[in-house]
Amino acid sequence: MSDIPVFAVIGHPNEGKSSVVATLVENDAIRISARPGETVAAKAYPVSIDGREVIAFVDTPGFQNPVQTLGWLRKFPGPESELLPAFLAEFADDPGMAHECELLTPVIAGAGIIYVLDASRPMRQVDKAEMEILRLTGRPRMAILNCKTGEEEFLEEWKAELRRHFNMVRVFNALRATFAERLRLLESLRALEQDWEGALGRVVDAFARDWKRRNAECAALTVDFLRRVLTMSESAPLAEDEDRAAKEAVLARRLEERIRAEEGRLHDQVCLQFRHDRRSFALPEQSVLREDLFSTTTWTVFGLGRTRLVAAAVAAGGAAGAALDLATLGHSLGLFAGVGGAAAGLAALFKGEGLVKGRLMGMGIGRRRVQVGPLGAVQWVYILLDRFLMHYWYVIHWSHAVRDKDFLPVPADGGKQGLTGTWDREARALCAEFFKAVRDGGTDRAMDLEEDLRRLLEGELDRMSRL
Amino acid sequence: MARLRLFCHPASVLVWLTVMKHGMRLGDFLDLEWFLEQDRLADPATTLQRDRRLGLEAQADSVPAEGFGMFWLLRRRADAGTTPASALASGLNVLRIVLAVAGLAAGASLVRGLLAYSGAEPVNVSVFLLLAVFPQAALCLLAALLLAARAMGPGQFRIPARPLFSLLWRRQGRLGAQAGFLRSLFLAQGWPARMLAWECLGLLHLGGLCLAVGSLAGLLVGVTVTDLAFGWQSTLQVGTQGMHALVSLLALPWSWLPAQWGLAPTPGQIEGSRIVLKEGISTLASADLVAWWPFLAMCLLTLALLPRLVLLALARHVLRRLERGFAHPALGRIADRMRSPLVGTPDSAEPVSRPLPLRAATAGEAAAPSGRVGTDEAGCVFLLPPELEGRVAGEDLAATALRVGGERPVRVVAAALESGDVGRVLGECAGLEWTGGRERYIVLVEAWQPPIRENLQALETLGRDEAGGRSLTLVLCGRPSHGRWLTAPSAVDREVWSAAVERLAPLRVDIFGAAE
Repeated sequence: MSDIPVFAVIGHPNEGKSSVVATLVENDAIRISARPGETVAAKAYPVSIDGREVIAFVDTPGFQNPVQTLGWLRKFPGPESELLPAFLAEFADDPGMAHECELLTPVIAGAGIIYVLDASRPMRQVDKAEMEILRLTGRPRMAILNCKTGEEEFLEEWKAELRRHFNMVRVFNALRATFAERLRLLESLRALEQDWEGALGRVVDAFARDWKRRNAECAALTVDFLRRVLTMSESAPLAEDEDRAAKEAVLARRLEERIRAEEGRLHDQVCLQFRHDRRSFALPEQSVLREDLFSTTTWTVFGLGRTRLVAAAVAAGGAAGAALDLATLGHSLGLFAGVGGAAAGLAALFKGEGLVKGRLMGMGIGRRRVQVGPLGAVQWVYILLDRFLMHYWYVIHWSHAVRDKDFLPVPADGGKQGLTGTWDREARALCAEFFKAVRDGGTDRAMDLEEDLRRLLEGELDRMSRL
Repeated sequence: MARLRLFCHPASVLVWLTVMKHGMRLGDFLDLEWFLEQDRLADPATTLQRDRRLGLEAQADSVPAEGFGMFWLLRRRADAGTTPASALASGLNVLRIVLAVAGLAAGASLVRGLLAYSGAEPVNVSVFLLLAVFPQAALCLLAALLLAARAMGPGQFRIPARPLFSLLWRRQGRLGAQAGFLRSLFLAQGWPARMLAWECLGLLHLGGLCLAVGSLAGLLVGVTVTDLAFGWQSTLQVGTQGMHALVSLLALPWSWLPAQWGLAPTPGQIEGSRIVLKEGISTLASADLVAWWPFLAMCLLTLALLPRLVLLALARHVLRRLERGFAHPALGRIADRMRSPLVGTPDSAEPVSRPLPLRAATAGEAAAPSGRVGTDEAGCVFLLPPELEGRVAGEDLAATALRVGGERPVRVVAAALESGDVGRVLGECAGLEWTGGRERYIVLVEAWQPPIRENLQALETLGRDEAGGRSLTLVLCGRPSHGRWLTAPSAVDREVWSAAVERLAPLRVDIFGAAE
């Protein structure tokens, strides 16, 4: 018997056993298919903490002969403790009973049972036979109702029957399970067997800590990305006979490419943080995130509405002005705050889309140069943040069991779809102030704001994880 | 000390001492940025594994929590080649040597030039003060004023990094990776530029200090190895009193020292060393002419050398304070990665699936004898899942049977698709007189349930007929929807069942959908 908690995930074919295991252990490599019978041998997926295995889930093939198996078990004349070993001894050489032998082997070795079934379908006799088989094993067992199609018409019927055979019954959709739901499932496994409580507690703790770390990494990556992107520019010498507009266009395209690449890298890193294979992860067909970063749609859909944008810019300009005011011991009587605020607000209001390309002309030392960038409108902070947050949302909801992009949530249509618009005034102002500070150069204030923004994002990611 | 004893690794002791005494330095922060930049493009899983491994090593070495960042950095450096910090340190050391040597040489040569004395005309004290002492004092004063202004003002001390780097490295492509990285980091005008500014200021003060040392050394060597005479002169009607007042003012910093040490000329000595060109110096007393050098040396010491020393110390102190007060935002994340348990699951391939073999039916499950001898006239027998019994209307079943087989069912039997139930059905139908002598079974299958081996065995039992007169038809239905049970199966379910039934060959099974 293994000295770590082992759970055999058992059920009828094609009920989502592999999906449950893939989601619980965050493993994209587990084969999942809409066709039944893909899993032909029991396979253990251990979870390790610092290289030491602490828990294992065994993905098993589905029952192929439940009625026949139950019939044999019921007729077994020996003691209960000999029931399963005798079954294995009887059918070990029968290739037709290979799946039953495979799925019962870990149970004989002491594994707990997680019985997975699709509760979106009605109950049948074979299901009752399977439940009875598992009851006869006498092992700690939990039933997971995995509503594959979302249909809940038969849920109560299932629950009523399952309670008669299982110590615990939980609803868990492997395809849509959030991090919080995964943790709750693991928590509930603790109650299944007292001996496993400690080990499972450590697992839950490690999972929660790991998730928090991932969120912290994502927040830091995003702030770092914003700082890079907001200070990016492209410049080149301009010859006397060269067309400035054409040169600017070339530089603008180059700058756009660099920014797109940075954003792509950020999104890839977020995927990897959550152990998703970048090749298999895909955005929903209808996602606005598929729009190019520099498209009009992106500009329209993400970021703040005009009023909020102005308010945030005013708050940020006002804050900067207020700092200056303090430095002059109040002799400015708030003038700096007022002027700074008004100027920033007006810039945000009137520049708007005109600053999508964020162009600035500059002169180098000794010769003419043309420069494009950095991004000149505060709206970019909100747009880039919105795109990151939406990507993050997709990533954490891209279950390791999902191989079908249609399962991804789709934001509501119409109007601004970004999350920054729902933030409170302080959070929005912080973004604007961050933008201003980064653009002004790496001051101590900019570092403080980076830290504040990182914390804000960590909190937001944590909140999204628990939705 | 008790904590120190916990360290078994010499490197750990070094970490502890370094962290506790100095904290991280500019070079450390630069290397940190360098390694973070490398990590930025790396696979997070690899980074996480490495950092956790380092964290466990740090724990094993009892490195305190505040030393985790430095521990991480030292280990990363051990695996890396040249780092930006070493490149910068090399550059700064070269600059230090150059500035020190240049300062010493400039100071010595300046004083050597001012102390030129051939016996005809004594060294003019005023000229010495004006060229060797006052400029250095003025520069020190200017530096102090700028520092005071920076301390009071809201701005931050910066150096003109871009022109400086443009001057040092005109083409970015020629830079090594480390130097290029440093260049971009300093040009970003963040904390690296601010710290570098203080480092540069320290360098400038080092140069100034060496200039003062060179000047003082030049004076002392000149006095020691050559015969010098000092005097003063003026076209203006400046009396001895005026000169004495100036000397007293300059000598204020060391006025508390005993007068007998002769560190400032007395009024008599001042009067005795006044040069009037038309009278020559032959009438002046030698004692008065040499009385000036201790004063000049003290001027260099107190107005040039010591202020430079203070400014240099101040620049170093501010840099240290800046370094100590700087908490790199990544350090927390690194420490977090080092401390967080590494949760992992191995990725591994699974065996390829293949269908289970269908065992031949046992004697008990064997096909019942053909029912041609029965008395009832039978069209077809309709097998229905027990759960659907009573839920599907008889007319619907009849219509389905007519559609798929052209005959109405003579009997509708509830039976699970497993060998036991099928054997029972065959037994019950054994006495039927089949129309045309051909047994016809239609099986309604809920196709959303995957075909398991038990189902296929049952179909094989039902379809097997040595006489060859039995036909088997499957009617696949989909998931029940809004009270309707005879729904169309999904394409996938139909495909799955068709593929499974194919394995029953040579048994022929016709497949239809419950609703086409």
